[in-house]
Amino acid sequence: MLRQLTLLPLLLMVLLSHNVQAENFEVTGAKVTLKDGLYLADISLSFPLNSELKEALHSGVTIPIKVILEVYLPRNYLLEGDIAFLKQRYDLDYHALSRQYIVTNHNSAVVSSFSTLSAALEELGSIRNLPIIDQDILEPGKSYHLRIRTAIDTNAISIPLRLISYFSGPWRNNSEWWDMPL
Amino acid sequence: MVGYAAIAMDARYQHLIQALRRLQQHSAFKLLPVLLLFLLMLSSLALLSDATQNSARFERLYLQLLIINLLGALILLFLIGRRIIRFIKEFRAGVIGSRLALRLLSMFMLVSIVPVSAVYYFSLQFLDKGIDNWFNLQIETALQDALDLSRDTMDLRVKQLIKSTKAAASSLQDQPFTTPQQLTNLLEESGSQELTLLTPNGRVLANSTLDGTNIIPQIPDNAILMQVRQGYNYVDLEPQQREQLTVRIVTLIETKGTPYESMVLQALYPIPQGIGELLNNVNDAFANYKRMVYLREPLKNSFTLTLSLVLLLTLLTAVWVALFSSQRLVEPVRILALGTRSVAAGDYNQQLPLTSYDEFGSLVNSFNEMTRKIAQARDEVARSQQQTERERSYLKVVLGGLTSGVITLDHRYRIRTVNAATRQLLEADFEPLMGNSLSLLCHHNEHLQEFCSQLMAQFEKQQAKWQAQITIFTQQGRRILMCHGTRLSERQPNRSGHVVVIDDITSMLTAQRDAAWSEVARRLAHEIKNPLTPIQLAAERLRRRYLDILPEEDSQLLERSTHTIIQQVQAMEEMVKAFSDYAYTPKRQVVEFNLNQLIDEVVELYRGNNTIDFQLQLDQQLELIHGDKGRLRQLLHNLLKNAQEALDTQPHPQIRIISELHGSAPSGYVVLSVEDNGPGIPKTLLEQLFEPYVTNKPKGTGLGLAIVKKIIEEHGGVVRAGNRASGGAYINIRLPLEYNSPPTTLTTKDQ
Repeated sequence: MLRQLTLLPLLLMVLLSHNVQAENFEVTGAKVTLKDGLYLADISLSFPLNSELKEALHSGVTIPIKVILEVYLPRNYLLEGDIAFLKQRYDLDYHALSRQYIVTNHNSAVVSSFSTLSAALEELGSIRNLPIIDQDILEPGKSYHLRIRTAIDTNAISIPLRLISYFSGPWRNNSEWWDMPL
Repeated sequence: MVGYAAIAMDARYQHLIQALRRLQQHSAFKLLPVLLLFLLMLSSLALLSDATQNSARFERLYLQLLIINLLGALILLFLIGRRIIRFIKEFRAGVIGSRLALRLLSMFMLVSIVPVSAVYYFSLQFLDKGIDNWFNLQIETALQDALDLSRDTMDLRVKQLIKSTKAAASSLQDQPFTTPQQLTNLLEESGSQELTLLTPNGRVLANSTLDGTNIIPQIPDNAILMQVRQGYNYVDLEPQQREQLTVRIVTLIETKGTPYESMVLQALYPIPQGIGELLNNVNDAFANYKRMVYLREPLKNSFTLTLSLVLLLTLLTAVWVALFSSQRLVEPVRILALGTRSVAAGDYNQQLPLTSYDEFGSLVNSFNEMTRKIAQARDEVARSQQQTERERSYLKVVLGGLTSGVITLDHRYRIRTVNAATRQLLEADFEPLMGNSLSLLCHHNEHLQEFCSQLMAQFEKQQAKWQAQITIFTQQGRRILMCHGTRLSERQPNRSGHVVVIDDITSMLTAQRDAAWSEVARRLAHEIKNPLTPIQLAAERLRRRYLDILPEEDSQLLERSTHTIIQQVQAMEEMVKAFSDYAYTPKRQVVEFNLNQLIDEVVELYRGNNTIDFQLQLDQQLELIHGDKGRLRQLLHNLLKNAQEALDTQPHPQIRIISELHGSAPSGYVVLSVEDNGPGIPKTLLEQLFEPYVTNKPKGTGLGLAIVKKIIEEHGGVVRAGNRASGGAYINIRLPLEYNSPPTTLTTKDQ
């Protein structure tokens, strides 16, 4: 009871504490090809799940993952001109009856099941021929850039975990930006 | 028209502004922002609570709702802090009502915080135990058993499906080419939903499916293909879209006479809907339970956080309302206290604002009515005072203009008012004596002792009206005062004061006496002097006729008798002449002359055949004065003769004449003193010494000093007489340097 009574101050303390992340999600590679006037991206991602996330996953908690892609025009000043913003949303679940790991692509509504976690994460980490932007939208002669980031989508985490996810390391998993010229 | 319209618009705006100000001053308006904040926070708390309970509606707004609540709490904290700081400042400054407000605040906070805290404590306990009660080992075991049972059931079913798939695979072993039609036939035989023939690398060779909506084959992933290539069948239950469960069986086909050494056959068997739903239910129940177990602590924390926020909001609002209410309740008391202070300080125009229509409002109305009436009464008193002051000033002017002295005293004989004439008559400085007792007046002015004692004697008689003639001796000489006393009417008889009107009747009495004596002189001259001459002539004729013819003895008798008659007649003639001189006022011949020289001349006449020692102490600064030289010469003669006659029996007679100059013309005067070392003046004569026919000499007419006084008065001077301490008498004359005829001098017709 005492612990619960002191929850608010503790939360505030957590708010102020620095977050140390041991194993982060990572964009390991990306390649952009122009095909039929459309830029397509092949992206390789790494999702090293720690024990806490694995425990949550095997306990029936959905792990929401997002992949953010931004096409922008680098400028000298702080405000960069965003040209296109793309967000890919995936859910990783565990199906207890079948012992399958289910990957749901919210953008394409494709549900894939995998007998192993590594197979599911491999599927998640391999995005092929993802359409990014139409070439006609871009002005010729300008050097556009693409940057990619992946993270756990904290806004989609189960509510009881969400407050913790704002401050807690395992749930606050963001990759660095992968930046490349388009 | 435009101007009028603008004015009307301005008036409307003014009216609106005033209405807004009134609204702002109203406490409900002050309460409104906080009330809105409270409602906003309450709404967001409700949404937060909804979101905490996994509601899809507000799930995405969880963080925003949390921030809104925390911000609201911070705003409330700021408002409370501001009020508390103001409260502390007022308490330290001892502002009226701050102690009462503190008492009310303590009471409100006690009433609100204690129950809320108790509810919070027990709610947390119920929450903790309630969530714990959700979880039960039996339920967990039952769910696990159900899951295992489902798996076993599926295993049995899967074994049959494997047989069917292997049979289909066997039928394809010897086929060099497999057509979709062949697969379709197999599909119907095996009862699968989809059959796909692939190369070991995963390339589709043929496919047949019953699902018309999905013609793209569901290709197994690399891991499955690798497993199959290694000779192991892949069998698994897979959840598909729309909670559809499918059994995927992938097996290797060893081929002969085909282009491939081996092929892979994948068969998908949908679980019948009824069984699928049951399996899904079991799976969902198990998954939910597992999830709830995992989320037990975070769930408790979320509920505790929501509850704590509710508590925080409630407490902060309660504290703010307590602060607001205490100050609002105390406000009318504070206003009343301030109003009372203002009234105590003499500000009766204080009108308190009416802040409410309750009992306090009634009290404020009563207070305002009271101050209004007090102010009216005060104004009335002020007007009365002004009126009294005007009347007093008027009376003062009137009294100041009176030649009669007026003095008022209270019931303790303390001097209240004195007019200017009183000061002149009594020759006393009343300024330091105002408000003091009459006896102090006598103490400071020795010459008024008789006056005070007589007044006190009259006062003690307790008469409503009285009058008395009192004689005082001032520097101006003897004054005969006629005092009229009146007792002032008061509600309490023993507290009534007195007013005394004083008239100087000295001149009037003198004039009356002078007139009387002049009449006597005139009658003497007329009635007595006229018969004297025939008497004298008759006596002389008798003498001349019968002196020689009568016998010796008779002639001697005649001689003595006629001589006596003639002598007495001459004496009577002299007496009549003296009276005539007293009554006669010659025409004044005012000239400028040296008084010292005149004194020398007159004294010289008395030095010749006299043994009297004349001592002159004449002020050499005294040079010229204005006056009737002849009359003043007569004055000196009378004085010297008077002194000389007083020294008849004195072995060493001595007369001293002193002149002293005081000031300079026109207001200056000379004091002339004639002193002797004779027997002095009898006390019985002292008061009436200058009245006619007052003398102690056997031969005197008693007119010498009366004439002296008359001459002095003709010159506007003052004469006093008295006895010297060392023996003898003195006559003291104060003579102005400028001739100054007194207005009250009574003159008689020349005889």
